[in-house]
Amino acid sequence: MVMKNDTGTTATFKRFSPCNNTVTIFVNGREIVASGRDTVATCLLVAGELAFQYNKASGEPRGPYCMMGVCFECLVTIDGVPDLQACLVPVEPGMRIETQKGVLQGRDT
Amino acid sequence: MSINSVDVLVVGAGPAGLSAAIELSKRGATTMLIDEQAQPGGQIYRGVELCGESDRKLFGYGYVRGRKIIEDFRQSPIDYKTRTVLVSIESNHVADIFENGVLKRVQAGAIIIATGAYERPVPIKGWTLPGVMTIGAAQIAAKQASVIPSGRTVIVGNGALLWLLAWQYRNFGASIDAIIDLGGRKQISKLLRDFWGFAASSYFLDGAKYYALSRVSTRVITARDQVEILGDTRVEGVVVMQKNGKYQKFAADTVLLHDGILPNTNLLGAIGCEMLWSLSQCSWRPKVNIWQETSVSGVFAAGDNAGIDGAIAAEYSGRIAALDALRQLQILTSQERDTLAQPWIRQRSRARWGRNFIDAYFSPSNTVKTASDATIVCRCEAITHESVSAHIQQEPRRLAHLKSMTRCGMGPCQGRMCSPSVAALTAQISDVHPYQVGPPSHRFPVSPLPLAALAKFDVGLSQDAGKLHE
Repeated sequence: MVMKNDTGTTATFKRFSPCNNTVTIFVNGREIVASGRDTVATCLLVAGELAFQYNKASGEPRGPYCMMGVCFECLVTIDGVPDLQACLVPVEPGMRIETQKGVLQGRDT
Repeated sequence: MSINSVDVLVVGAGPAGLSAAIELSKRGATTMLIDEQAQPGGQIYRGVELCGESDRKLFGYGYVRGRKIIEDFRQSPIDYKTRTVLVSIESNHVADIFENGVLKRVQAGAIIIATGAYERPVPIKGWTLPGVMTIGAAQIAAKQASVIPSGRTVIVGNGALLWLLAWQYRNFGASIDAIIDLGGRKQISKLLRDFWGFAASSYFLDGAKYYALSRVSTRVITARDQVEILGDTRVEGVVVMQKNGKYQKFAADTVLLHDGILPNTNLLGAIGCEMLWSLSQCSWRPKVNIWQETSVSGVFAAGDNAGIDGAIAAEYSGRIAALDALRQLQILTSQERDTLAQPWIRQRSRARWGRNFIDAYFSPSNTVKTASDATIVCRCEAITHESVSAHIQQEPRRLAHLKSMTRCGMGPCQGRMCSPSVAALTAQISDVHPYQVGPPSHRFPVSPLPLAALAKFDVGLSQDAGKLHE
């Protein structure tokens, strides 16, 4: 599966095996068909998102590093709740995910 | 407030936690198992329940094994709480857990901590760029949802897991453009001494196969010098620089890093368990007795958070911890415990065969020691190698001071991404052994919490409740 992300570059992740169950979710307003086994992090990677948030101290883009809840680099906004670890949250139908592009977004909440 | 009361609280649903919980519930102890993830299995058996049978086999026998444990677990009467973290533990085994946005208090008779391991951070320049993740992260993506890189992929690092992933990627049809092997020169004499234990171990045949197949089928570059990741807003490549000024460049869309794994001891440290430095594994681990009990009475550490021994040893250490917890709860007599434990204690030792060889062969590269000035050491607060080193030189071996002056280690990861590097740098700059630097200090809460949850936390009449969150 080749998909274009917001910046027009090609996704750098794919699946080696087809999905049996799919769910429809929204990533930055775009409709995405995800696997029922996905976490928010795996589905964003396949959808072509690499930068999930901007570091709150430096403003640099960051993406998932450990995928197991340790590094806190994959923070996204899910259904309006900011700074959630994308690697720990399973996708659910109709879920609305926003990557966190603003430097201070989510801070102090 | 009603306080939930259980015989044993188990933290972590990997092989150690699952095995402990199965054993406890089988012998009639009320058991609560809490885990951060949505599904059981920890990282080693991540997604094994939902993974199709043919896909499961592509990961190798070490993954398939998890299916059986989880089946047993699903049939056991255990209060299993997913996506729940342990926030703090007070004396007398009172634990505060965070579940579904709410803080709750649990009174336990004993606590078994099985929080596993995580990968040693690999600070090299550019490691914070999107598109760079760990070997473990790549395995998790594949196990969770069959996700693999589709572009040019370069692996950088050192460790057994690296060669396992390379073999698994061959099975998935994922291509690897290059493996940059940071494993330094091997100490042949030490390796020979430990080789026979390895040759007799369960790791030998599979491990040798993964290693040999990946080495011959992939371009492997041995790097003894500096490696940097290139890119501006995402990874674009890797450069290997040699001391004579020559360099080799590789274009990459994904870079996967690894430098071995470390016991995840934040929780144990915060409880106040005594820590020991492991010379062979270059990491801190809790001091445990033969029953996996830590220096804090009734608090057990089972599985890789008590020292890296692998998934099979973790199963036995979980069961052994459960037996002594049952004895402490007076469900078993000492004699019954000893009889039941005997075969498992033997199996646990058997499962540790070969570990010394693996530890020696893949002794950590500790990339921080050769990293350039601009390399980020503390990812959360974006603190560079240069500023951490400058501070250590000024105020040698005052890690608390470093924290308050630079914010290094103050971010949401609670120091897990920087403390091994800071300790290695401190040892190097101050010219002391890492154990003299001491284990990192941890405090509750060990997971970040929304303030709203704390504000709503009704601690009832517990006498020392106020102390906890001061």
